Amino acid sequence: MGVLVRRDSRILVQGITGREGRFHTARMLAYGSQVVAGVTPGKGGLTVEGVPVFETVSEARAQTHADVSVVFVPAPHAADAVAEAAAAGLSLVICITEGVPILDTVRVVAWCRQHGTRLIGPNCPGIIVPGQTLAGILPGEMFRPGPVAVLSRSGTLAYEVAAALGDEGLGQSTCIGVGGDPVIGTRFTDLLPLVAADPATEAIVLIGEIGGQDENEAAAMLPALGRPVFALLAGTAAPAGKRMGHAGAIISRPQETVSAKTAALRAAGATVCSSPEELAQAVAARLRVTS
Amino acid sequence: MGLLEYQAKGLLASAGIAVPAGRVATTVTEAVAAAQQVGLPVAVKAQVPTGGRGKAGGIALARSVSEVEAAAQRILRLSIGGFPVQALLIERAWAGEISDATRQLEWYAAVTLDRHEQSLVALFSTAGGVDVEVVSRQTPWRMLRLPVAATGSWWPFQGRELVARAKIETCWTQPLNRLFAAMVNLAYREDALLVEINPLFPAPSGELWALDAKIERDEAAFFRHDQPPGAVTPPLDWTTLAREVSRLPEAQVAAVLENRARQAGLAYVRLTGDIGIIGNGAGLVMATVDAVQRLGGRPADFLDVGGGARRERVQDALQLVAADPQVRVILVNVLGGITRADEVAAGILAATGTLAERGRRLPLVVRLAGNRSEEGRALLSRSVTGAGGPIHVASSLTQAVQLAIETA
Repeated sequence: MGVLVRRDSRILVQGITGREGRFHTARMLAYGSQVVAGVTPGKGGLTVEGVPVFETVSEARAQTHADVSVVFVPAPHAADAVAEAAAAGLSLVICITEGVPILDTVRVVAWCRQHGTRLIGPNCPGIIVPGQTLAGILPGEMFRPGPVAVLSRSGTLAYEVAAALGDEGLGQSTCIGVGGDPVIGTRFTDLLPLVAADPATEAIVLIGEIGGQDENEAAAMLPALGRPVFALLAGTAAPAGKRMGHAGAIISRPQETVSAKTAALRAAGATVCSSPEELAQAVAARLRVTS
Repeated sequence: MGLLEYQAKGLLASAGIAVPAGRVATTVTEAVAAAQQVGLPVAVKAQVPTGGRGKAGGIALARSVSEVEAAAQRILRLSIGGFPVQALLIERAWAGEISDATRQLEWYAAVTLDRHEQSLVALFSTAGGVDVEVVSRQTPWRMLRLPVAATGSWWPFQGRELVARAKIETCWTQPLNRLFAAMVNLAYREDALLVEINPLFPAPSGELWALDAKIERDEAAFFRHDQPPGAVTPPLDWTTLAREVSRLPEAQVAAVLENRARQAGLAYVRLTGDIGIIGNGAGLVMATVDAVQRLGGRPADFLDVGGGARRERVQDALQLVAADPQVRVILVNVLGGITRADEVAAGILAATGTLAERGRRLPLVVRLAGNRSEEGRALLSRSVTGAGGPIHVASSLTQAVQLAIETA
């Protein structure tokens, strides 16, 4: 099934003529994704990896019926690109770009809401529905189809968890990287009901970290989901007030620590694990019992 | 990144917010000249990128030229929170101009990012001053909070709302509306994620004065603003950096290494242990630091080389961590997705080679997985005797962490 994207999702790549855009367009095509159009202002008429390039998103959409955009546009212009895709009526925009100014994100999140567009990211690896489609930069070879939905604030830690699940013989129904910035378009609480409603999902893995309270808010939602939830939280050893790589990974209040989030998630019935291996084993044990 | 007080006040003034007359001085002579220009009495205030100045003796009131001299001389010799005082703000003091009763009034006003609201929020309290954090923790209802529109508009009703909820006289509605509209504009113009005025002084004349201010700018937006000083980055040279660090008092090492890392584009946080940690991706590196601590080791740092890192970046990362004298072993944990593990291995070998030439021999524990990890491991195992010290190649994260702990 897959959440948000499917085998027949028609993908548009904004910033397709840049180094990253071109490289990941090739990888998405190799994975079997339908990349139908690219947009780079000033480069309309070109072809990249066999994909036609347009001047504007509305033109690309009119010609190709693209419904999902993946944005690789450099940070100074990334919010503008997202805003353009929302205005052109795309239902889903995935912003891979890291380093988007936070007040640009604040404005563009509101703009997307106004246009009824779902924004994933910024500063995220995108979405993969293993065996169906890849919309982003996740390494496809580390994922396989299966019953576990993975939602993560971190890219590489999600890959690590996918690999550990693979070692236990488990694949993923959908993996969504929500992004490592303090303000992101779509949070755990927006996605949990969607993945829980996906018949392909038998268990949910949340990969969170210090900073913000998205995990605490997600906890409040767990009892109603009807799916077992397993969590891995990064940043136990992180000192308060220090930004740990992600712009959003910073402890500003006591509720934003791993211990506070662990307590909130456990109280809501989640299994909180301390390493990817332990998490994969816990998921496997649980799914073996129920199957 | 936080601005110094005089920089913050300069921005407030440019936004039309009243700040006391002041000048910056870097020597005693300049301090005296500045005091004569702004008029006595003056406050002599250390300009350092850290809090707790008052308690550290970094602020003094001076009523005469000789008092200015004495205060400037004393404060310029201080080091506050590891930062030597290099500049002073000489500022017109309010003392004596207003009655003691009014001088007690210390309000608080701020505009800051709220992650939950996904927007800026305005904060206002009539209980400002040094204990404002205690106020907002113990009597949260005294800290008023209003979300700001994502477009950056400040609505006049918001001023009326603040006045009504703070139970102050309605004559403050207009000044508060002007103040907050200016602060929100400033935040958007300067990409500030915090604009804080504390204390905010409500003068009997009906003006609101910013007596102290804090502004933090979003580093991601530096490209569209003036570059901070020191933005021109020389290539990372291990010998120079290691020599500089070895001369520093321990309290300053973290700031210097973190600053140097920022210039090199590396996400780095110094911790207090002996196991240097490098990896790709913020979450993975945090998880590695956590694993070291969980298994009984002491992490010396967090360093994320980011996605798709090339060998030069990896080389810079290793040299930076190796410049920290507390590091006794370096643990590299790389999961190749977009990043190529063989590229990382090449960077590791280049760094250990350079370090060995300079006489810094550190054992390394390397775990490479994913994209091109076999090629990477092969590269490393061919040089296990590595010029820079032994390189242990581990297959799993747990094994890598255990090896690093045993080696340290």
